[in-house]
Amino acid sequence: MRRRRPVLGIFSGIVFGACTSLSLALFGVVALDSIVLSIVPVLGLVLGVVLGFRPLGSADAPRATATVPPEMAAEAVSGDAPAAVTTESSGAAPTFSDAYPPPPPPPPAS
Amino acid sequence: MLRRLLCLVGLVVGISLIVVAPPAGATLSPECEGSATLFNDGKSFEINAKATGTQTIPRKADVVYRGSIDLPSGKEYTHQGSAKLKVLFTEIKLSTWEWQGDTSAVATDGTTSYDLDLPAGLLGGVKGTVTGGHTQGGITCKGNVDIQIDGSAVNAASVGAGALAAAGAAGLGMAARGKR
Repeated sequence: MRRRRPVLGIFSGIVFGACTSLSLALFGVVALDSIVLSIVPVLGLVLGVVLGFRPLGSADAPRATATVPPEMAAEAVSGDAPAAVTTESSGAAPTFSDAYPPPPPPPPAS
Repeated sequence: MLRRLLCLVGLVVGISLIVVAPPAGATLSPECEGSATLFNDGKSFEINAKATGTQTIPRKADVVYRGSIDLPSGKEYTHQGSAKLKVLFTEIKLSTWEWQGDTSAVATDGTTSYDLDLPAGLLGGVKGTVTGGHTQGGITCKGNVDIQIDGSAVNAASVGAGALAAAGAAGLGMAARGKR
């Protein structure tokens, strides 16, 4: 999870918008009376606020479910997961079976 | 998120395409004529208030101007007028003229000079619109001329502004990545 940087975003947005607008005028891209010169700073501020409060990659979706390969999910549902998968994980990385233990075996047939 | 950003960028580009490119040139009411010759460092610049396209002017110059209005001569008229530079939503007065008494003149010419009084080259390439009007004998002349200041657009001011914009973009990039 990435943390927000709203102050940096807002400040950078203002600087970016104002200086882009100034550059457009000084390089002769737009005339001094062009409305673009007033739109660009506002858009820079909006962009700064958006990026400052919602950094890229800050989705709130849980990560565990997103990393489960489909074949492991299918095995867990069917209950015939191989022994190597159902044993306790001794490695550093947790496996899918740590979070979802395999279901108990079916009752013996009478 | 990325999709929203792309939409925002598309919106900016779209708006810019709509508003950046108005037809350049000059307009003036048909009852009037106006022109000037600007002299600077051995070069001359012809400005005509009815010419098409953006007209280049030097940062400072000696000016020989001519103007006329389509009125019968021999009568007395009150008259007034002004010229302004449009900057965003406001206008900077360049010159105003008004006589308390009446005049029988329907044409004028003369000399003047101007100096934008900024370091050489600082405003090179800057574009603007000069607008003006003159009222006399019930006729109002209105016109505007698109101008561009002579000189290279690549100078200390423009490069400095570009560098600051790049710094702002870098800050936006850091804000977009967030803190781990």
